[in-house]
Amino acid sequence: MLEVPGDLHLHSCLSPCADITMLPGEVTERLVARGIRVASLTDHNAACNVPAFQRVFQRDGILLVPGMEATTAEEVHLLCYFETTGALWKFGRRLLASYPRIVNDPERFGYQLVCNDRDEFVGQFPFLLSVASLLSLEELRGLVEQLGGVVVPSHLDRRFGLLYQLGMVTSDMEFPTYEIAHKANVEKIAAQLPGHPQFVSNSDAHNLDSISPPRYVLEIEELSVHEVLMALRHENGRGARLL
Amino acid sequence: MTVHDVIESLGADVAVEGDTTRLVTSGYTCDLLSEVIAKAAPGSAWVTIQTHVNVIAVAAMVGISVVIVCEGRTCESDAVEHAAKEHLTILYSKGSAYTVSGKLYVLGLR
Repeated sequence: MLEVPGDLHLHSCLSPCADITMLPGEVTERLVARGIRVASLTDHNAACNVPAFQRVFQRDGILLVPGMEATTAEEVHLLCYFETTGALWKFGRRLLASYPRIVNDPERFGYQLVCNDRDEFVGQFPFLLSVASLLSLEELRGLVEQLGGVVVPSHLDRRFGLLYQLGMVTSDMEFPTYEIAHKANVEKIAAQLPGHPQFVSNSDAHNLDSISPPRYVLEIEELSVHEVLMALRHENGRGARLL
Repeated sequence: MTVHDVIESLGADVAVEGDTTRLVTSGYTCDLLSEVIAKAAPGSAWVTIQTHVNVIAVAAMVGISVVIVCEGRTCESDAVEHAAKEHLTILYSKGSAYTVSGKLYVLGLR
């Protein structure tokens, strides 16, 4: 079994709350320096920068897991991962149809920049991305799973995390893997969850300095998106181990 | 009534003193930011426990006159900075959103 250092929660200049320096070349350089081998660009509610990041990741030997951080109607943040970019686009279109079209005011909420693989800005996403979808947590999860994807609830120990927003996780909505912001919180959080989940802890980097050394490894048979998704589903002996 | 009148009547702490001459014409109590964007009326006093910097952006976008942060919570420093830039008044109350909303209702805000 391979033990692969991962960071499956990164924002680019597309996320209004992220720094405009979060460009593929800059981000990749830091991921390589930190020894990250599997990464996911998970912007808020859109995936326009995934193609540019995928190209640069590929060039530097990092596996990209197609992903997005979606906001449910309850304003819970969910990391959504897919086997292919095709499935991600399908999800993106469904999500776009389910959220309110509010024209972004970059001066207030931040710029939402689309980039190419040469770290150049090529456009702006017009609608505000820090809004909540009209899809509930269960509906959104259903949609991701129907497309063959996996949902990992974001930063359980922080604002916009599942526990923070909804107060508890009942046994009918448990997940195989949860993300925590701080490893120190793992026991406290685990005690509030049903079942025996596993945890990952990603950088959730909104600026270049926040790209951290690996905090966990994925235990997988080979370096492929399929294997990573199996690890996130905690199945067939694959899994994640906090460092 | 004005923001100044709300400050006087609630006895809440003033975290950011913006334009206190602004008119307050209604009230809205909610913590889901997207719901506030969709439903709150311009000129509202917004009662919430949210303290994130996005509160200020949402308030500016909707045209909220004053934000009242409840339960003794305090805004993050970037939120305070943004509020000052937007001349938006932020009040801190130790009361719950329920009691603060009740007081505003009694004051005549509907």
